[in-house]
Amino acid sequence: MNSELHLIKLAQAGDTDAFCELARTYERRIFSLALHYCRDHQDAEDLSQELWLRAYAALTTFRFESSFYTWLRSIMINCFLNHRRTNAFRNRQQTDPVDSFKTQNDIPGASMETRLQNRLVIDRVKRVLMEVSPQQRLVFLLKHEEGMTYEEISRELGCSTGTVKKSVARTVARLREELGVPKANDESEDYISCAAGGY
Amino acid sequence: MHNCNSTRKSLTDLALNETPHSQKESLLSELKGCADCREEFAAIRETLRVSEQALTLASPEESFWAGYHSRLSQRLAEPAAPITPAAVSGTNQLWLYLKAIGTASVRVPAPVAVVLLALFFGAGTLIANHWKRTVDTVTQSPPQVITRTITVPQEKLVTRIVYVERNRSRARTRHAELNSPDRVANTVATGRTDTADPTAMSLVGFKPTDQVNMKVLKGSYRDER
Repeated sequence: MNSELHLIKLAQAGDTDAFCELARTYERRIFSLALHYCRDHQDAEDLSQELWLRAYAALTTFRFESSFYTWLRSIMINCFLNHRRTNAFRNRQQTDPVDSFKTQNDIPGASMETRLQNRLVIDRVKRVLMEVSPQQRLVFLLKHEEGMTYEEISRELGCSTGTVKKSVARTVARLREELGVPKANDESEDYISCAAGGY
Repeated sequence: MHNCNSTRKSLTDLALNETPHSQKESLLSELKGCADCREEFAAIRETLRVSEQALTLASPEESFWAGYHSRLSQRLAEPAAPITPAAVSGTNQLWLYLKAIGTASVRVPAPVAVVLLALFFGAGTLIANHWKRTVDTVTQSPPQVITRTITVPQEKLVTRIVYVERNRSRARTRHAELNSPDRVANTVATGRTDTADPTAMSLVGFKPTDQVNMKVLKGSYRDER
């Protein structure tokens, strides 16, 4: 953390290399989120790089009142919302990002059958995320991938907690319907123990 | 009393660890008592697990990041890095700007939005009523009397004295006598035109006055000399 603070201060002083080091820490997380939000790797790269450029331009406004990633995430959400409003996506929804570049699923090691099965599941999840509204998708990703609480999401998006809750519930219901998750009778007790211990 | 419907509404929150601590224990005890709700909860958790794995697997592989980072470093090193991802022409930029204005939205809290909507519709209703009243007043009001002063050319009084013989039958007889063939023949034979006669005839019934008013003009132009 101390090294991160040091890097932030260096970057605030105009050190681009220090900022690149900071970006290296969080770039995967940011890009993955942008990829799942945009559904196209080129759009995701544009969007994530736009985020980093904006963050670099606004770095002097960072007051160390929150973590660097929390601050970065606020900029990211604004970037996502602005991108949605200006309709800047290239509407390449039919393009499958799995075909565009290699994913972790394509790493050799797993059997062809497993990779194919994973590919089908990935396609289904992406299809559902493509069908829901951009706000529902963003809410789901912020909750499910970023682990933000309902309150944090509602504060960032400027909507009520109830809206966030309903949005997540609808996306989960839609995912469940699409994935056709079987009822796991034998594992139900384990799930309860997991819930009791926290997710 | 366990209610499956109400319990199932809270299962997604429980799976995402968003259930308040006070409700968590009671919800778990309800799950233990109801097999259907337990299965539902298990399915939700399985859905979340599978989707999380799918999204992780959809992330780019390791070789992607080196290129990504070099591209990012390159853009950061540029002196005037463009913020917008795609370079657009002037016309397109104007169009995008207008489109952005057209599609711009402002976040308004729900109570404020309700108040604004109420004000908007109230003002609309008032304006509509006022307009309707004006139209009704115009259509139902009696014709308005407008008094205008019009300059009329002054009447010119012309007095003309006409002497008309009162006894028309006598006048007709007199006229017949004057135009009779005997009288005409007599006039031709004597060679005299009785010029005084018609005047005398026209003065029939005229009663001259007893007094004669004569104004004698004394002197003349020559006398003055």
